[in-house]
Amino acid sequence: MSLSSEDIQAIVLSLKLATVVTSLLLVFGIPVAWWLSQSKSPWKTLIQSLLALPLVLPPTVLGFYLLLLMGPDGWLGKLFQMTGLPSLSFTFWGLVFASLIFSAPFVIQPLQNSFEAIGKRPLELAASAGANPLDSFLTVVFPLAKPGILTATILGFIHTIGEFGVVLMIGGSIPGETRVVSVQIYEHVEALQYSAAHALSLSMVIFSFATLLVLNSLQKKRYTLF
Amino acid sequence: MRMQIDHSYVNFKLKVDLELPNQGVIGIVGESGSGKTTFLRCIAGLTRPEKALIEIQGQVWQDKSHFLPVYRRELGIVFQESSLLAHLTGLQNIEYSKKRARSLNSGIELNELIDLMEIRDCLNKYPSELSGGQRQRIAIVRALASNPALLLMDEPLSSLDDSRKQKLIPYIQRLKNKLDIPVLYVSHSLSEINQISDSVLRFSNGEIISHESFLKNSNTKSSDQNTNLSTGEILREATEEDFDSLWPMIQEVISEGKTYSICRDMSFEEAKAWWLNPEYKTWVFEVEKQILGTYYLKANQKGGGSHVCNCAYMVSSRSRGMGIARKMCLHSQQVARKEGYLAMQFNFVVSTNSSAVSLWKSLGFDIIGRIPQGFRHPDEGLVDALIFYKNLLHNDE
Repeated sequence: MSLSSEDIQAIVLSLKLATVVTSLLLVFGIPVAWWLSQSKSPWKTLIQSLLALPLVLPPTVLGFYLLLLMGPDGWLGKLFQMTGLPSLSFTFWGLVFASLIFSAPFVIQPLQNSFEAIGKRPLELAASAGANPLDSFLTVVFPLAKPGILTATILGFIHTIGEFGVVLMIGGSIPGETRVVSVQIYEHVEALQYSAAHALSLSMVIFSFATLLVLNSLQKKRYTLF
Repeated sequence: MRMQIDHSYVNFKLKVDLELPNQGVIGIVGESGSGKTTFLRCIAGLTRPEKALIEIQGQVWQDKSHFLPVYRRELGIVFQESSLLAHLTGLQNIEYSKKRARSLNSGIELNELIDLMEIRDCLNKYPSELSGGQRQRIAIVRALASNPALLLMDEPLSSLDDSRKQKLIPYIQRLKNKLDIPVLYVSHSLSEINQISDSVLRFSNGEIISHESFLKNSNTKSSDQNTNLSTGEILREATEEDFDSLWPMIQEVISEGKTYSICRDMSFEEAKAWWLNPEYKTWVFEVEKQILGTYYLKANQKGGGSHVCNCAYMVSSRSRGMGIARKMCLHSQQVARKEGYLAMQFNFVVSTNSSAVSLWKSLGFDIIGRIPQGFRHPDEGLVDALIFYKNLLHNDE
């Protein structure tokens, strides 16, 4: 029971997808989560609900609408046509786009929670010491939120790797391009190649479990406020 | 410093219009919800008042058209708790402030502060590894490390238990002597305020209802032994017949039960036997045949302790605030010296008795001891009682 070269290709693709998606989500998610944690604006509830939508929608619903959006009649598809960019459907970057939407709550919510857990006091202390908002964010918020940022990274990563429904709908299972591990396992099962499916699945289980172990041991180190 | 603040808060409107000195500790008291913390936060800019004019040491922190953000204000603040950044050690917390100091004031040198507050062995520890008292001492140094123009302290000792609180007060007193910036010190404990501050602002329902100063009476020159009696004022020894006039005054004070720890429902005969005890020297302060005040002088102990004297003073409620107690105390010190006493001791001064506490302090008495929660005040519950002492061979201040 070993992994074929196509299996390995699928694994590499999954890792690549998860890395790109998680990095992008952190870059955009941290400012958004920070704004959400500090804001008292009436838009806050609306935006929070929008961001949480992917948590409750069936993946196929999301996949379907994205397919329409990215297709030749959808507004994103048309935009790409006009600017001469190749269509997103059935491409790696299409998966990235879909995964950004789908994994966003898994990154933004832990970030927002950890920012909120910091509370107002450390920020007041930093300001009274002369730290401007950026300084305060880098020297106080960021260190105190590290456990939360780590959680967000791991959750975003794992969730992206695990995604199936959306990926299949808009990716189309193209080897080396959109055939990620979850889809590869599906292909093996369809073709009754159970031992191959087993090899991949078991590696996924081990990988996920190891990640969760790491996550949980890191959770223990929590800064309380003094 | 000039502060004019108008701010609507949940249950009240804060309305303040003050000019405060640029030095010394200004105590701020008032019941919970009277606006003291909101006042402090408005000055700091942590809460943005609707309308304000705040000017500190020549810098405008807020006026009609400007609002200087908190991080640009030269202030130091110590909260009741959580006054340190949890992810930094004591020293790192202090350096955080120091690095961002924008003022050119020299302030107190950091090493001196660290030694004064005795936190040198706490510097490398994280806040979670330190006791409440240690954390607050570091927090105070941290607040001063940026050389602020104003130090704000919001109930800094309130989250500590009584014994720790007592240990911290001397540190704050020592600090106070070294600072030349103003300090706003909020506390709900009158006893703390009496020991630390130079003046007191009293808040109620969002407004300041009084501003009393404890500053030493500049009229009393050092080595001035004169009681400064004005014309018409007589201090003479009491006679038995005087007691009829004294009785209403004495009965009022002891039944109020806020200043003397004596049986509150004493009878006429019992009070007479106490106040006109033949072993004591009892005096009355008389103006135009009206007795407005009285005191007795006695040896505090018999035998080996008899060179230290003790006095008890009373002033009629209609004549308070006129300096009668001060005159009587000065007189009593003269009499005591003549009688050969070496020192005077007040064994039990209720800490909430602000006028007595400030008077004794200004007359050169030191607090040499404290009886924790030694007195049951009818309104404030258990409060401390203080022991005052003065060596009579030294000159008055």
